[in-house]
Amino acid sequence: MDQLQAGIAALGVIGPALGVGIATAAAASAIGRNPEAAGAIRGVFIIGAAFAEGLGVLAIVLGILSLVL
Amino acid sequence: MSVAPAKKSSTKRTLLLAALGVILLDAFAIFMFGGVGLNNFPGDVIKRSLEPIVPHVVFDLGGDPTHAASLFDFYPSITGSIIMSWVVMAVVIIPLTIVARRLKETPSGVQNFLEFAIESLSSFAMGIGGPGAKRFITFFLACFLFIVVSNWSGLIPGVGRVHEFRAPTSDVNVTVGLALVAFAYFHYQGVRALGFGGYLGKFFATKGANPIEKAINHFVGALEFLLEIVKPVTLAMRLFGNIYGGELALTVMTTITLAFIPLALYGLELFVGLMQGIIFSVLVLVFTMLAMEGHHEEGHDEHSPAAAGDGATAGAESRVAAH
Amino acid sequence: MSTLDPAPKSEREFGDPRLESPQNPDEVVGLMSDIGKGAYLALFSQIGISLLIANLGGALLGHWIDGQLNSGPIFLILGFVGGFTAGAVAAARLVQRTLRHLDALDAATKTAKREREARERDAARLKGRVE
Repeated sequence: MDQLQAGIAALGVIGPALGVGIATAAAASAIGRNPEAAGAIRGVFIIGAAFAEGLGVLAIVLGILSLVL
Repeated sequence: MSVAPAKKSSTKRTLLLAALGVILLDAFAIFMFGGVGLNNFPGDVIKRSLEPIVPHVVFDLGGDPTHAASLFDFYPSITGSIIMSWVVMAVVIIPLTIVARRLKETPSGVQNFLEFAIESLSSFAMGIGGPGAKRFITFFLACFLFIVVSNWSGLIPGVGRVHEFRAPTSDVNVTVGLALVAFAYFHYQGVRALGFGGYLGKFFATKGANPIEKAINHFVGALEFLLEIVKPVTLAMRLFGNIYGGELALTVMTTITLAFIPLALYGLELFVGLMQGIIFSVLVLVFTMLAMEGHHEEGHDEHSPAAAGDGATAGAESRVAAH
Repeated sequence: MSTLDPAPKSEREFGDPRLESPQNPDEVVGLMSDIGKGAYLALFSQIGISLLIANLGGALLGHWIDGQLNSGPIFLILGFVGGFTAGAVAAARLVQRTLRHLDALDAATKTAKREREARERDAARLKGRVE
């Protein structure tokens, strides 16, 4: 049962995965349109993707905790 | 035009024949031996063929046969990962030494290839660290070569399955050791660049006009300290998790599917091994560059002293070159 | 370019002449601007894993304190929240500092490129005048 819990908790990674994918696509097309601003776009992308990733990390930590505790 | 499609179909036919041969071989083996190791097919077979997380002791130096090996262990012994890391060191060091002994003015053959590889890697490192990173390129290259060759050594068939050989980076003890070496290295460089007092001043900031500002500075210093502790743990855990997880995935795929299907995963693992080597060495370089920066209040100054120095040096060099 | 060759100076600075490429330092700087983006990959990987380690470490520490004090899951929750916050702040600081470093590098590269172009223009103009 614990393993099922962990698996269900880890399903929460789907959302951040979609978010990071969308952000990457947007950043790529933005760099394609305006290559001069590539540095600034990369910075914004890193910060936005980090926010998305933080929520995914929460799901993984909950999964691991449900196995450990 | 007429040759290419015929060739393509012939390779396809060869692959199909090979796959059919593998299936026939499997069927023949099951028929001959009656499926000896195949009871409770997927679950138990996978469990039996998984690589244990604790490395296997090959030579026992402690003289205590009843000692049970555990993950973090200070018992004197030579494990399979230590033997494989000697092999990796030999593979990295011996060819480079031989080539370095016989350097020629006009490079050819192996020397040409090695010069190309090392030059492109060092210009890659310079792109991240700037001109000031030239001193750290040797450490960068050493990290990169050891980790990439170790990662790829786990993909040789048999390594990880026999007890005597195991990819070094799939053992958590080796990756923790690497992370500690990197940790000592970038702190040493930080102390060398800023001086001992200046470096400690990053973590124990005592400046501040009023008590509130002082408290904030203490809090920021404590946060820096936490960041420093998290760094080596992340370095070790990422490398270990990626490589060990990749090997487990390869094992499971080879157990439950036929041959040729795990080949795709094998290619992915080659890529992941290279990527992890790049990430580890780039992060060590970035941490070294950050450790060499002086401590300064956030938002008050636009450019860090080291980066401004880099810019000034580049400008000065170009001005010198102009005349 | 011929009167003051920068190569001997950098050799003296960095010691090991084998690491020196024969290229002009300006050209090395120009080369770097194209391939030096591997840092973003490493940085992105570092954000996630440092959050994970800090969060998990805080939660497990809280669990251990709960076991010692025989209290409910108070310290577990506190450790979870505190670990996540600390990890987020640490990752943000790392990203901020690294991006600043890379931006400064980028600016230096662009300046060097512009100066080189200006110099080439000047040289061409001078040449035309002499002829």
